[in-house]
Amino acid sequence: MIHALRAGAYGIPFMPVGGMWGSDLVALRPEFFQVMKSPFGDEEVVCVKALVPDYAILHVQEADVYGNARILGPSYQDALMARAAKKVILTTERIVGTYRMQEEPKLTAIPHFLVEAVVELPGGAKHGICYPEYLTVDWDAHKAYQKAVKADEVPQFAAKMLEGRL
Amino acid sequence: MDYTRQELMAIATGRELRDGELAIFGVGLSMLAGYFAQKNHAPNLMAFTEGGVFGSTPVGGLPWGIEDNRISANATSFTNAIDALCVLVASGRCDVGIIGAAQIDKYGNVNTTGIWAGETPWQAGRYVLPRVRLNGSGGANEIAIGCKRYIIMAAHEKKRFADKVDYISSPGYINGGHDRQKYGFPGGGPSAIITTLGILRPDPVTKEFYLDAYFPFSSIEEIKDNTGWDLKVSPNVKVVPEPTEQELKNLREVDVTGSLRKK
Repeated sequence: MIHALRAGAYGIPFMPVGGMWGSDLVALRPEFFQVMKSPFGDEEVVCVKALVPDYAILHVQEADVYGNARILGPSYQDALMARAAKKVILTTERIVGTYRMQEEPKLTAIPHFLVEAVVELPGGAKHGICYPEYLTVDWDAHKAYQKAVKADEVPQFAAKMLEGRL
Repeated sequence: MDYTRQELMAIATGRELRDGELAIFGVGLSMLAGYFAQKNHAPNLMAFTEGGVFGSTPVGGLPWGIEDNRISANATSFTNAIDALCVLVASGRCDVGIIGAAQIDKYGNVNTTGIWAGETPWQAGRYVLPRVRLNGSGGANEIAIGCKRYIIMAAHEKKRFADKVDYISSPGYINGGHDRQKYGFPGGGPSAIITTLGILRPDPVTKEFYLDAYFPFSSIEEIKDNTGWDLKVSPNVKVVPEPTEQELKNLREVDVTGSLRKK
């Protein structure tokens, strides 16, 4: 998935990857995975088709009103998703002044012109984790969510959560 | 009015940029031209460097390189060259770029690699060292391939304006016509060559560059004399408007060390 997003971000049709060998996925999904002979030698390499999502919706700790975003915890592939997607919507724990970005530009993981919209949404990653704001999963809420998925009641669950009734 | 050729070249280049565009500028005069535009008429121009410095403006004059603190002091984001050149430029997302050229030909191909002085770089199947080694393409190749359009700045001298470049570092329209589509480049190609004497633009069909406008202190004859191919002249050839006082003021605020003032 990461390599598919990399190819999408770079605007190229596919990406040769390390790994994937031996996974049944390669044989099962030929529309996404192909094995190719290296143009430089006899080695074979697995290639993954590019992925360009229509939207990436990402939650960050800090963003300014232009969409410059700081990821203060581990970044996983969030910065990459922002680069592969056609449009990016940010939710943020808080809106901060642009001076925060200028103080430490290295922490701005997502430059503003990639971003379509910013929504101030404290607690937006709950019932999951957003380091260092809230550090543990809210398991009760998670169980309620699982139940809601099974019962096809996700909108009701979301309404309850947004109203603070969970 | 008192201004230099280089200053009008930078202003004429800046006039090509529009508000709100995503832009990348090569090191040197390209940066002065680009940030002049941002200061003068395109306040929402979104600019970054090929090193991955975003949202900054030059502080204290012309940066000597992309890592100079003069172009990073007020940045809002530092990422990396992969972000700048691969994700934003080569992928085809960047609206406009500005690059410089040591040698350039009638199809807008740029050579910044070396001067072979009439010999070919490949002789009997081998690469031959150039007479003069230049500094290479840097990020200009990605800009040439990927930007929706780009502008080339070059000193207008006969030795620089060749019928065919010795070596293509950054492709313009290759051999003209639909060559760019044939290679599958995402970007549209050079929209103008702005020189120390005037402005050349590509013919919409052949993609051969013709003279579109000349600077008030220059002439069609001077430009033809300093071009290494038989330069065609637009039937509606214009004179480039002189810099306004406002334009000169804004340019000189960007170029505080006066690198464009040297005659």
